[in-house]
Amino acid sequence: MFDPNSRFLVVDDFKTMRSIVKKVLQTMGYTNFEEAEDGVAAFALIEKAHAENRPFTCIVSDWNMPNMTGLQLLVKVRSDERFKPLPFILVTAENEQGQVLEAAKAGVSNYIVKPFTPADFQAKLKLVYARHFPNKAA
Amino acid sequence: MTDKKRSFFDEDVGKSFIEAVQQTFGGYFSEPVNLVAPRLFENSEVVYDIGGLMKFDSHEVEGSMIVAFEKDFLLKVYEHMLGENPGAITSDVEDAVGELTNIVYGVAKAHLVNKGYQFPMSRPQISRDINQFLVQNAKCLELPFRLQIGKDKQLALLLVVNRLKQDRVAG
Repeated sequence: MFDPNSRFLVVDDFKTMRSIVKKVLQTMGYTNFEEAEDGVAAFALIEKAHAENRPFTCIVSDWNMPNMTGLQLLVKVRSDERFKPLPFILVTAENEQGQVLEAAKAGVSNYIVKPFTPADFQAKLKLVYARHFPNKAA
Repeated sequence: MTDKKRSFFDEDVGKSFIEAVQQTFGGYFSEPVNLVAPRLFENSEVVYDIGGLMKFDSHEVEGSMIVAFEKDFLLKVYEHMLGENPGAITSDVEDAVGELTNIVYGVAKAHLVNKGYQFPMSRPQISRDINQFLVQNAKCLELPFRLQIGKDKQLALLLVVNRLKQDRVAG
């Protein structure tokens, strides 16, 4: 699983969902996270963290946000060589077949459908870790 | 291909929204969320403490969906979500209403889009005066829900039609 010192970026336009995600991460032993309200703010934080040599370990982002959606953020991250391999989880209530395909094409690491339980979230996080770090996860 | 008239109150649409409410809130309390005494009305008011509204302007209808809450029930939901009860409707609780509205709309929208309906992405508006959302002469379907905890008027889904558009042709 991700190292306890891993840095998470939690992106959602609703504080409630950011709090829920942070709470779940805290119960898993993670305490190092930052928050952003949309994709624009998130990407700025990703760049800043990279420049300061304290990059994020994983992004957990809502899909439906103003200014820049979670999918647009994912595309931006995947098209930037600096951040391309970054684990990226999309969270959405809109579990539409078209959306799932779109996210998969864009290179999402995994997909969490709201409403979710802490167990759902933890299971997805484990899958993401295994996908990005297969040698360590084994 | 069969011509099939569909309105906002059609079975597919109503059922998808009802299931979305039941899935969302049933998950928080691990108990059934029962639909009780639906009411169809025009030019009338409802009594809830706060609500989140999603407007849609789809191919079929111009209308909105409101998830309306009684305060004590909402605070119980908030406590289940975040582990604390602020005792009053604070800005954080309003934010939670927005997120819950988002979830209900998203769950229903996914069902409907997968069935061929078109619903745009939308963002919730929150108000403590729900009746301001009920446009004069709009048709409204009130779908109250009850869980074992709490009072009678805990939670309701309000489906409001401002204008029906051309009938949709479904294959």
